[in-house]
Amino acid sequence: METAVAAKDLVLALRGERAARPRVDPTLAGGLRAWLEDDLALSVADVAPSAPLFLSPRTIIEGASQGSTPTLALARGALVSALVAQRLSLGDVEHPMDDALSALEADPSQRELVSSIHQLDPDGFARLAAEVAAHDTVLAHSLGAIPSSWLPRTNVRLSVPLVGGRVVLGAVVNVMLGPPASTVSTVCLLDVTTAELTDTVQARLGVLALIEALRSAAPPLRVATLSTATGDVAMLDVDDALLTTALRHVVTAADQHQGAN
Amino acid sequence: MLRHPIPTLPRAAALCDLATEPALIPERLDPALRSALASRLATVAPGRGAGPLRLDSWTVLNGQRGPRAELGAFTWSPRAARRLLGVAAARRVVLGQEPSPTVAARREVDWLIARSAAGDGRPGSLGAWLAEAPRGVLGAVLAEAISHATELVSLLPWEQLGQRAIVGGADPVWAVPGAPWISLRGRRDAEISLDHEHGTRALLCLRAGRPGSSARHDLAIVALSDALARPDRPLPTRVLGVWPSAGKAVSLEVGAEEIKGAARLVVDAACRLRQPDGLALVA
Repeated sequence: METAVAAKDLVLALRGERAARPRVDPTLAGGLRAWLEDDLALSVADVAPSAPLFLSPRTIIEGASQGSTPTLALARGALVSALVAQRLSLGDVEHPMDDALSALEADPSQRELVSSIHQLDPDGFARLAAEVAAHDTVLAHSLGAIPSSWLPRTNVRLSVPLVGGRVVLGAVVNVMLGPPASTVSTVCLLDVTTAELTDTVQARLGVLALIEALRSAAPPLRVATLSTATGDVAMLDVDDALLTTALRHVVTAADQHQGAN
Repeated sequence: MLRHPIPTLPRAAALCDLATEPALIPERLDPALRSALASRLATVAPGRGAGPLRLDSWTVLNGQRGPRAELGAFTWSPRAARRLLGVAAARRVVLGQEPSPTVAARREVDWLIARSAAGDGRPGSLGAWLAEAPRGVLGAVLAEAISHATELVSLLPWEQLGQRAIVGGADPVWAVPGAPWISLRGRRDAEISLDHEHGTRALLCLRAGRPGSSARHDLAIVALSDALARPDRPLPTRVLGVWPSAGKAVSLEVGAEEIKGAARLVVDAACRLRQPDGLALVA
């Protein structure tokens, strides 16, 4: 079920009412994993675990044929992700572009991207800095101050191996809230995008919820995407239908990928 | 032998049951293996002139795979600081000194910076790097530390374990007798005492990513380091590896064979590091 929500109420809406959280079906995640492994087994039988098939919510829903993301868009996304982390860990951002760029510069895995940002001409750099500042304004409005008792963590990497490691479902969650589930669903996921929301957003969120359910053995409570380009939010309560639809997307994507090779 | 926790919720309880299962027969490290390992390492590892050689699971297992030059020299980064700060923050939370991983990580960073400002840290230390770091870098460092601390705090019912559990503290380090510039470190995040009288214990290691084919060796090297560093105690009963990103956990039940295999890997890695292209690992 998609919920319309204003950006400023985003975090409160994600967590929702404590009393209204659904009970975790302790057999659900195991059942989903078994179903997925059965359906994937044939199509990835030729894949070596040493060179697994990596699938992310984006590649599953939009396919690998969408082409690579332009460098400037990648840079904008990485810079805004750094600002999400800073907002939640330090509470504020003083100079969006400077802060975000220094965070990327300290990350050896971002060397190439940092180099491409430094190679921009002065006008291009100023335009990117202005864009990043505009995206940060949306973040400031939407994230606010999150209580530390909600255990906020940022840029959480998920990496779920399936079929003996032949397939790896991976994602990076910009914001994760809530403790691990025991009897009721407690974890909420927020994906932040610098692009506008498209009609594939629900399907992508479903896959993200599935990956988290497989990882933690309990489905998340809610998943949401915030567009820092528009301030729009898409939020979904996680239920069995969402997860099983996502599961079919994963199987289809693996079949298509293997069929193409 | 590898064992897995029962896949039931809450996971913390299942992992706790596996971690705290009593030790059957406490085994001790074979003194002959200790002296043979010391002698072999002193012979095959790079000499004192190459500087200190600090071995751990990561350097040993990556040293097996290929040229040292690919590994690069150590520099601080948010990822490199993650475990050190995250474990220290988790320790503060488990001891009841701070209410949450976020607050605890901030406090830990502030403490390190203050220590550095007071002249207590050495050049190149984490505190010295943090003291010079711009605000954006501090945000990234804190984000990594908070994630690690949250994973560790959520992993086990620490309040139930009480004083049996020690989160953080110094990693066990064994300096090779006769070649003290070579040391072996066991990267572990927590320790649980199984039987105080006999000194039996379980070690807990959080790891990034997902478990690969070398996961068993990684845990065995931690067990070997701990056994060497604490000659008065028996071998650790088990080493639990947890990969939060993958939602996987496994327990290596430690025996003489695992320890011997780990010792062989350490010696092989030291041999490889002696090769001319291998100096990048010396940090």
